[in-house]
Amino acid sequence: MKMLKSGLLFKSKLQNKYFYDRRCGTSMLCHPLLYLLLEKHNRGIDMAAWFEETVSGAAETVSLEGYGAVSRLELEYYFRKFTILRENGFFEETDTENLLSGRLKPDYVRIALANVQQVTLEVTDACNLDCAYCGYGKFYQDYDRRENKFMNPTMAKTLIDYIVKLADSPLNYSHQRDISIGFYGGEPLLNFPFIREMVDYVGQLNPRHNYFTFSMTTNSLLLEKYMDFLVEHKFNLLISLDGDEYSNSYRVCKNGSPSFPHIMRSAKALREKYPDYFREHVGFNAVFHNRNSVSALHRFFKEEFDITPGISELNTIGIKDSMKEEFRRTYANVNESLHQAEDYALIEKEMFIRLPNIRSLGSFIDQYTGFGYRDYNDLISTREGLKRIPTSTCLPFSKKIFLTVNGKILPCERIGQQHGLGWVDEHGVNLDFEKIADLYNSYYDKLKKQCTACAAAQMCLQCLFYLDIQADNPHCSGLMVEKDLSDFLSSHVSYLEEKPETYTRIIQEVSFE
Amino acid sequence: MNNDNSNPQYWFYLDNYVHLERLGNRVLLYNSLTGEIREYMDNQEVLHLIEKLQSPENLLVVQLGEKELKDPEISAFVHDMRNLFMGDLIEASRSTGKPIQLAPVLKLHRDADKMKTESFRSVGVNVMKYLDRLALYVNDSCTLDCGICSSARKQFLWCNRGNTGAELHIDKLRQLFDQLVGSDLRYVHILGGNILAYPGLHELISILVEHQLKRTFYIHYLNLAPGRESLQNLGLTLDNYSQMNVLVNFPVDEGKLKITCQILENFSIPVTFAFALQSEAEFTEAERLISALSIDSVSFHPFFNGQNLEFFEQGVFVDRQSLSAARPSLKEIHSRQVMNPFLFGNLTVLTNGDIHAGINDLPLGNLSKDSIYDIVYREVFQGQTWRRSRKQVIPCRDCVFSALCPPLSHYEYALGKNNLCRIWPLNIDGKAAN
Repeated sequence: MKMLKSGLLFKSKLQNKYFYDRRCGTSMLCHPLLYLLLEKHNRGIDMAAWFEETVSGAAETVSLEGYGAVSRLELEYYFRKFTILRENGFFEETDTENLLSGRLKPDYVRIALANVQQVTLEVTDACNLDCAYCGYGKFYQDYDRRENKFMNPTMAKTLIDYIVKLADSPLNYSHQRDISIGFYGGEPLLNFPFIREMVDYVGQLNPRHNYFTFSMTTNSLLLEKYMDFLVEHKFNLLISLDGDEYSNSYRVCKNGSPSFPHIMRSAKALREKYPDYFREHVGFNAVFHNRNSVSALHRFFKEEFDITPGISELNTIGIKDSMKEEFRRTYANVNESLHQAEDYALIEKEMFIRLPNIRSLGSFIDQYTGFGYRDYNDLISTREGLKRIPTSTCLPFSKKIFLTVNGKILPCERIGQQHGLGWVDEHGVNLDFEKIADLYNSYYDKLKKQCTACAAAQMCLQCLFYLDIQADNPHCSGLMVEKDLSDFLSSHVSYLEEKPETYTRIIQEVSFE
Repeated sequence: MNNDNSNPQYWFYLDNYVHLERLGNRVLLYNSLTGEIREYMDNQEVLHLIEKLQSPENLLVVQLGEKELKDPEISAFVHDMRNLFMGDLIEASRSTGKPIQLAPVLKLHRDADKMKTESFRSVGVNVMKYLDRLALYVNDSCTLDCGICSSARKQFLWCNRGNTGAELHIDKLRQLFDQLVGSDLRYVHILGGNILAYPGLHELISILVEHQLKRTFYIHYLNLAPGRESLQNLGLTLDNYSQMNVLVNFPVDEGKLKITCQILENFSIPVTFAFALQSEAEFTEAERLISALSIDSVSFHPFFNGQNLEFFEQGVFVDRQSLSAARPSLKEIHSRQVMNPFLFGNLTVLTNGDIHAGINDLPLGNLSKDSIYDIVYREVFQGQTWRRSRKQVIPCRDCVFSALCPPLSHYEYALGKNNLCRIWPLNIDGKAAN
């Protein structure tokens, strides 16, 4: 049995004192004297005995190491407060081994697929750009060979039919909810006939509980040619653009010429012709690297499109050994850039949840205050005795399913393509739910020792596919000892001490699915 | 910050297990760990301080100096908060700046009302996970003449004689349960009429066994008394998933109740005797019967007959003491702010196929015409019953106690008023006095 202390003490930068109670799932401001008592409790001291010993025969005032003189009455008061909290379940140890003993069952995988929210199709592995940092480019080794293939429509239809059949079954527990068909590449518009065929195909399907929507990530070079179609079918469009000409200079055409003028021309043409659609359905994603900055990105997109972009850092997983140095030079950290920005406050106000520091603060408020609830069932159920599946990895297909151009099925497009869970071929969809559950459970087993010792195990944010999970003894980069968790809590509370109004804004504006 | 010895400064804060409600000139503070309640009314200093505490810039922490603490109203308030372990003072000199409290503000990520306003989200996500209990009125035929059933079943789960011959067709029920495989349905209540006269009972039980659903059979004791054969009609699968509620109302035929008890003595599923009570005298009599017949498991259901308001005022209405003693947790308070935890997830299917979220509310659809998915989606979307909280009804929405009070039940309909409480003195027109 692995027991973790429940009450984790931490101080803000301003030296205010707080504690997080693991068992009750809540964090709160703490009087320094109560904090002192909790420190003693955490050291394993029998508090009742300590209190008796300290006050018995003592004068009106006692001196406590680390606090100073305190009246006997005050000490009694805080001991009483400590006792009330204890009587209400605070400061009890947590059995993380039992807590994290949840297992993935084959049925969960089947049910997840019946409720899948997004089907992402790798329309082609071909691209009309040659971006230096491409996820399928020179830096990475964890993808299937690029062969300029186009996806076979029959293969995609086979998968969609399979999903619709499951979604029409009673295993689907949603109703009147969309299934988003995501077109992904390479550059998906290079295979436009496929896109048109798929849109037509799903248009004649009539699933019982769902309807289809469409989304696409594009470099927009071919956007002008196909925009009428995309607008007609209300595609949610994500245009990849890294900022101004220099910022975007890693994104070059096959002949090495800059892509920037082409992207700008097509994006502006779309806005010109369809301003309402542009406002409601178009977003930009900027990859962050050493040639752009948060400040420049914010300014550029504001001035050019009156929009705040999404910002993604380069994926640090699956880098070839030989490319690590060049990757290191190319990589840049969004938070660091944000803190160097002169217009920090304005950027933060306008970009808000699109910034990683605010997203992290949102997670903190959701998971460490005890006042965040997923849905109505969460509000009325007890969390007592709940067994969690380790790590924060999405259960397979609980959010999306990704079909590669080669027919491989993955749980997500953002993970290495060595993690295939099945495939589609001329015989149909090959998914063995038992094997998938076994595979995931074997990964959990590899991490179990680290997870049960992790101070943040209950609130893990780590996806196991971002670890070297196929190794015999993968190391979890998210592993936290108590000090790491204290620092994490402290940094967020310190931020809120500086900008308290952010707390309310996050609660009002940010919802997690 | 002025923090010299002549004018020491403090951070005054509220603990975040404290529920704070401010409405107009009234403030309520409730300690969810101890159940203590404090109210303040027309106290401008306290109101002003509370307003400051609640502002997003302060997050439940404000600075107080000696001067403020000498104000008798503020001083008394701070003293109260400390004594009741609801708040505290920290000497400002113990840190280098202002702390915050992580205020207990509810964040419900899948708040249906919010989702309705967001084009990229659907209220229908996971809705079938919300369905928890089904009450099925399988038939309405019964030879008894108890007199209370048509009203009683609108107040709590109770049988109902219609004698129209209407019943739920077993094929419809099979279709219903086949649709519910992916739902989180756990409990099914089976009611009549006299369910022992329902021809589909055996098959219904097989369906429920097949779906591993917990089931409770509601049978009036007089329908059990004639002899054991009637029980055989139940064809009960004696597993942990079955239980029986034996319904008893007054006047009680003690001899027949005794026979029922004897029949059920060796019956191996859990049996609860449910007493419908109209008066204190019936309660006393029920207690005598329970003792005389050595009944182990009982439940009491006050029944409003239109003339026994006093019985309800004594036994059902809440007051400050009972709310404090019930000690709702902060999570319960949060749930009561946005939903009805008592009725959430419940559906009732009547013999004519009408499906209700609340038996007293309009039907959401009909078993013959609507899919159960449409019914559940409709209820989550509209929020007619499952999401109706006291915050939405008069006069509770104007009362600082609304989130401490139990959720709306069926009694509010029966009595024709929402405030089943003795919290405020009432004016002649029945409205709470200010």
